[in-house]
Amino acid sequence: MHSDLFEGGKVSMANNSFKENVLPKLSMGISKFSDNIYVSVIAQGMMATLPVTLVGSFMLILGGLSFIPEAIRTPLMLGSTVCSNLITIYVVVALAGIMGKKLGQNPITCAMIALASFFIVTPISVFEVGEKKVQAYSMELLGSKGMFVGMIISLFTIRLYCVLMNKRITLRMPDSVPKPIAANFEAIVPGSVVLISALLINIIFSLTSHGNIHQFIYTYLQLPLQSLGGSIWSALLLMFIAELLWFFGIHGSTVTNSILTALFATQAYANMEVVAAGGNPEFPINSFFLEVFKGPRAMALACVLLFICRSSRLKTIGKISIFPSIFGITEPMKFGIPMVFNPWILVPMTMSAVVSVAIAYIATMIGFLPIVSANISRMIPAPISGFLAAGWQGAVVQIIQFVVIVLLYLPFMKKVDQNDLDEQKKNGSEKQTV
Amino acid sequence: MKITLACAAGMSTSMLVQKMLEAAKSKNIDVSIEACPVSELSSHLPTDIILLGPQVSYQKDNVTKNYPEYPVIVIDMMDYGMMNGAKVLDNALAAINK
Repeated sequence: MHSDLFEGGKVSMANNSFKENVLPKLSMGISKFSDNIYVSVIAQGMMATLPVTLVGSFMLILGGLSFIPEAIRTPLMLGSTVCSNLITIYVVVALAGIMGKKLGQNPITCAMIALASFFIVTPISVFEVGEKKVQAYSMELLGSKGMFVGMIISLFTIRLYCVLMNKRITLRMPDSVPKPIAANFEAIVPGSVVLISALLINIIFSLTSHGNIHQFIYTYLQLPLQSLGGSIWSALLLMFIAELLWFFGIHGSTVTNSILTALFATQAYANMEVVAAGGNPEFPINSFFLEVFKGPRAMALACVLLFICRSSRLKTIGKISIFPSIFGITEPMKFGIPMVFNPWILVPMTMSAVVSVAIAYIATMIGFLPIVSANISRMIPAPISGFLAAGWQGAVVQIIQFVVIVLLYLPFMKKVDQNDLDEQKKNGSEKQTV
Repeated sequence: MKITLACAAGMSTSMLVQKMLEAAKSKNIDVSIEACPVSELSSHLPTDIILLGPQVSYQKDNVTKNYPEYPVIVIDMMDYGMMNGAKVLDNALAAINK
């Protein structure tokens, strides 16, 4: 039914040329961005750290409950500290492994090389513990504060390593050497080139006033990105773009997630670290917050389809969608209603996430909603996810979001429903006359 | 016979796979059907046909170029939305036998 919305003369012509000429180019441009190896490795790498951050978050939530005895709270907090304060280590391993796999190299070798490079550029400090002098890495740089360096080092060392391996700039073993042994030798030259480069980075930065790459990146990249990019406006804009891309039939969040990570992930892990250490989190807008409070949009729309729409086709889509929508899966509705290329639904579709995040943000600002500092899987449905992330206030905010989204969709869906009913009637009467 | 479906994350596609398997069973067609993210296609080959979800239709040229030995078709938006497993299966079988 989406095509007949434009039926008649020029409108349909314009629509067709748009679909045939502009759209493929637009899609190609977007796919170039999302298929870019660095962008896709960051997106997949952050997904790969989920087991650690999710478990850490649940320990954090459990440990924060008032009725948990101290004897259990202490190990729980240790668990969540290890999961959150060492996040950069996991990020380095995940990004390097995925990057290596994509470029056809052994992911474990890549993970080791990237990790070694990261430790080379990270300053070792000497601490006095009682009488003893202890050499140690500061946990600070292995957590959220070192995350950008970890990502950069991981991506570029493995890129370099893979280029050297694929160009066969390596020790060539005679054919008589068994393959597994030869493979180990082959990694030596590229591996040492990468590690020596890391040493050079270490030396170069030690000559500057920053002392090390961490200080440099933190001052010139991470802080500016956090303060300029990490605002509520950029969050709302990203929410808008993700849904707008869906209008063009492109899975929006796979495109925007890597940007979201760059702008909002470090704040999330910083919060988690502070809470695990017993302090108060300071960043209300962070990637965990956005994940939980994007709003129960799929569920709200599925309910509108199932309980309010009268067209049998829309009701069927509602039936198909209601269960998957609990877990945030929207594709049946995106293509079935359809929402793709459907101007009637453009407004509620693009605005529902924006409005939801705005509601949650205002709730935080007036002091109602606690700051989110735990990673809740998006597979956990609202209002449970809100409750886990921010207590009963979180659940209340999600219920308010649900109602607002339903109201937002209602007038537009009624129109789509009416169009559908008219069409059904028309088809029905045609059949009778034939 | 094997059919491989690819979408962004492999999640909604696996719902469609269920419907397609049901359709195949009721028609007594012996076929294995798998869903995966486009990025992991290479580890789900060889196959008899690659079906792309409509949300990754813009990847069609890429996929055709990377895997020239397999037929690649994009699943119709409406069939996908209505989870019309039988029709998607028929289209895939028709494309294989062509």
